[in-house]
Amino acid sequence: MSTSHIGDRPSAFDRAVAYVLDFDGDLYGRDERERTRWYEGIALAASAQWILVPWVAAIMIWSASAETARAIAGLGLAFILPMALATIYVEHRRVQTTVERWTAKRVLWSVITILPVAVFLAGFVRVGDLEPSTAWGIGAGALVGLALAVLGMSVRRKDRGRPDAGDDQ
Amino acid sequence: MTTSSRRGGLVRADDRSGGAGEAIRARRKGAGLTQQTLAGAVGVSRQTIISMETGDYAPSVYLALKVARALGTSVEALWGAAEA
Repeated sequence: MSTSHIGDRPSAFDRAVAYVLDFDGDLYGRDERERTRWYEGIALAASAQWILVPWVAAIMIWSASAETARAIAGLGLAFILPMALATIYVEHRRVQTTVERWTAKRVLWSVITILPVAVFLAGFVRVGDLEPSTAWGIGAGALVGLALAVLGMSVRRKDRGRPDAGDDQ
Repeated sequence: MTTSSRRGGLVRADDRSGGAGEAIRARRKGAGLTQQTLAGAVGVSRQTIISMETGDYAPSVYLALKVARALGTSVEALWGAAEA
């Protein structure tokens, strides 16, 4: 299987990825086809988790105590943050992650994955025994985060049209 | 290697026509090789050879070169027809 780094010297991130993905070993199959199928299987599982876990959390939160709500929130963060690694990794490997077309499937997927987070936050505010200022902070933070994500997407979409350094066009 | 999808997408390389798979199988048999022998020669599992012969898997260019060399032919001869 190929090496994972770009440029002459692999970064610490590249080395960590190479270790986890075991490029020269057989953790993910004995050849390139088996590795591809493992990756497909893992992506399938991750996609299922990406839908199931937030929805289960969004439902559970409403019947949880304040203490349990905080525990569920912690688990939710532990779930979501590693998922962000996928985007960081593919961008590192020069995959453009900006949305080109908002197809019906992409819209549906976004709604299915974002909606439970909103439901969860609402539930967390309700059962979390929070100070009003904290509750408002969570709501404002969610809105600001969403706005920043949309803004970032828009900026990167504009940047995508620019030629790379060294382009001969 | 062909790129197939509905609506002209980019995602999945495969050989549904079976052209390349047939060519690999014919060349392999012509060379008197078993699937296991060819698998050993190019460093993959027998299942991967079977998948190539049935059109379920389109290999990387590196593996395609190994297969072609092991069969005494070219990548174009094996996968060129599938592309056409």
